Amino acid sequence: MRLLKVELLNWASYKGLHTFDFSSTKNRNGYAIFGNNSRGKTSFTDAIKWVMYGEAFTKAVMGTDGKESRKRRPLVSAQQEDNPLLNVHSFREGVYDLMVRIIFSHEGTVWTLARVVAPDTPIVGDDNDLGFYLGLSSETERLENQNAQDFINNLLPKDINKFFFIDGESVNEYRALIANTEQNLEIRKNIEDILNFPILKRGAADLKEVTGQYMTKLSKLSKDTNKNRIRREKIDKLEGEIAQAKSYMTESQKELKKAEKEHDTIESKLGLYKETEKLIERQRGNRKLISAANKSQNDTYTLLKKENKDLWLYFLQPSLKQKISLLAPELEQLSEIRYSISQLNQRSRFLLNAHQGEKTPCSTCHRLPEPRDKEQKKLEVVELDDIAIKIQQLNESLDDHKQSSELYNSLQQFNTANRLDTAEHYQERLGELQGEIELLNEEQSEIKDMLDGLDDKEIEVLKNKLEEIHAIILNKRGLTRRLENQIELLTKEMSDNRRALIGSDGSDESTQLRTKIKALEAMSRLWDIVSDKYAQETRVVIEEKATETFKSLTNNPDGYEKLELNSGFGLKIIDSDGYVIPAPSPGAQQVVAISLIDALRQTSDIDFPIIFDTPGASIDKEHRDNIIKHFWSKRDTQFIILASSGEFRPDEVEKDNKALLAKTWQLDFNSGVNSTIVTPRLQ
Amino acid sequence: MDKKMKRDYAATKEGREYLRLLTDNAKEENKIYSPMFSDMVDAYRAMFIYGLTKGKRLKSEKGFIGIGQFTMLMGVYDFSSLLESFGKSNDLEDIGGSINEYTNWAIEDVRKKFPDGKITVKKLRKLFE
Repeated sequence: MRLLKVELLNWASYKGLHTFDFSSTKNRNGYAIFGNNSRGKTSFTDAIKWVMYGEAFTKAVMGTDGKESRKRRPLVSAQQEDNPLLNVHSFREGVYDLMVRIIFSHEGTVWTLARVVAPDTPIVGDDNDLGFYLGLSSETERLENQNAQDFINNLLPKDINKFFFIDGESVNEYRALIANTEQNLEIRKNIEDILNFPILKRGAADLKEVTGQYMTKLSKLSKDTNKNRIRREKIDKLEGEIAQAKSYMTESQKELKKAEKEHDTIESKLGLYKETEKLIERQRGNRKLISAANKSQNDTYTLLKKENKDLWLYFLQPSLKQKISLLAPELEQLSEIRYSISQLNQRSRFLLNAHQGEKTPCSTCHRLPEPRDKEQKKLEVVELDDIAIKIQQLNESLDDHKQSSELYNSLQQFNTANRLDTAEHYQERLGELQGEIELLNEEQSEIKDMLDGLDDKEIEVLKNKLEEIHAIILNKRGLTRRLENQIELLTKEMSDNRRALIGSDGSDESTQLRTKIKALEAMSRLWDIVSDKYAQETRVVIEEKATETFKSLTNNPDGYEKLELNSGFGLKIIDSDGYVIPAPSPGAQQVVAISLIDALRQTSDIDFPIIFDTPGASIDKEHRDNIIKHFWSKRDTQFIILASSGEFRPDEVEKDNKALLAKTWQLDFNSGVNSTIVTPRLQ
Repeated sequence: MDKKMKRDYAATKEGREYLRLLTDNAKEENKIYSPMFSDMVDAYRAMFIYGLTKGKRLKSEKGFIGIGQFTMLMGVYDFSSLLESFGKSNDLEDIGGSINEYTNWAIEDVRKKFPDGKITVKKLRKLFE
């Protein structure tokens, strides 16, 4: 079914005629109606429900008994707080025409469905003064009132409309999918409805009933012989025994169900205990980590303190290097002076040697001095005197630079490799380790707080109780099975007696009836097998599809293994370690519920748009975005969200989902005309 | 040099407490996590170098309290060459007094900047820049 148009006349806050045109050539399924609170979003959803089922309800209100209840919205009232369906201002102005019309396509045909309220009297005081009309028409067909209603009920049964009209603010209904409550049983029944289980169950019962009727008819055709009288008595006795066995079985089944429920409750409580086991494991792991970090911290601290012993030297290095570089030219001069002195001394020694003995060979080159004349020798004496004076002067200069040389040598004792970076690294590492230890200690403290609230004795009691109940369940299952066998045997014996009884007639009619009974019995067996197989296969399919959707909606798909659906359609969330998550958050419950709804929708043969009011009521932005992207992009069904600006920013949503959106609207309230104003945005 | 070094290396009372805070020697109630130095002498040397390289000295009106012998402070090193190289011309007239005053200025400066004593190599390094 695809919604093409919605028209509202004087409906709730929509005074006058307002149209939402859903037809689109874009081949997209994303629709969004934005509006702040009290702008007519919920009234839009109510309008579609009303045109289909003739009733609309207020939002759920928590009663003093803790139960939520909804009130049926009246057709007319002059008070806005009564939430009447006819626009209050229209009513006050004496305009009583109220209509909701939807145009939709279904299996290739375009249908128009309209529910109209018109006054029966000139002046309308209350709902009793108004008359209803419901009409459904296509190009070739026209259905009115009950016939139209039957068509709609077939399209989407009223009981299961909650799977298509989803209200994000009514999370309690979704929580029931996970909790073991009475509401859950109702939802489970709805789930069976959506999957057509009742039709299957009815089919089996019908077959058995018809078989029974033929049996009775046959037994009446039997001859009234002595043998047959005995057989009839036997049949009566067996009937009594079967009835008693069935009564025992019903009782046993009740007790079994009770025990299973209790088993689930205890298991759920123990689920928390399993969580604590994980906590204890984590605590142990943390202890090891803290110990390792402490050791590493001590080692690093020792290294740091060792480095810090020479910290003063490291700090000194830059100034020291500078100072030493300033002394360098002086040291160079000093070196040059020393070299000059050494050269002069060498020359002086040579000249002296030459004077002392001309026949003495040079100690360096082992050659005899060149023979010289007197003039030459005189010059050499003068040179020797000059050298002595120069050496004297240079030695004096040497004294002047000696201080710098000593200082230089003295400063060299402070010269060392600068290991400030190493010291800094140790200190930073120390800080990191300290941070790690603090975090671990914090976590340990949190775990301790959580574990402190744990009652070991209670867990022991629960474990024992679970064992007891498990034994009861096994016992009751065994008993039920035995009773089933007993009933089957008794029924067989009764059937044999009936057949024997019937067989004694031998008429054509009895032969025909016998054949029919055999055929029906065979069909009945086949029906049971097929029904059971269908139910189990469907459950598995739903579980897989729900898990698939859940993983695409959750922010942490790796944190979960799957959604588990038991044979009664009770839901459990299984984490990546295979444990049941005992108390999921309301947001998680809503995401689970949406996943299940999606799986049921995919599995069922119902084709209807999803209208999601306030999708972000219990979940964060990321999940909201995941939900709209998931439904808008993957499904072949229209997905209409009604969102307040607190949940979504229209501009952002339109920009981010441009390729997925078919149309969007904005709802505002104009107090001048006392009406919601519908403004198309993206069209 | 012996003639010029009659005193112990010293600090004011507050300065000495602060140095303790930077070492494992702090009183239990004042002890901070992972003090930077093992011994006060290590902290004292670092402070002396800080004061000396900044060229700042600070006398104390109340006088200084001895911490330990100068020989312990200097070990194998000749601190007079440091004063000669980085200090002022008259520093060598009273080497001990000069060392104490340079250090006193440094302690007071660091104490003002990090009153809780939670200094790190990185923070101290920045002071030298």
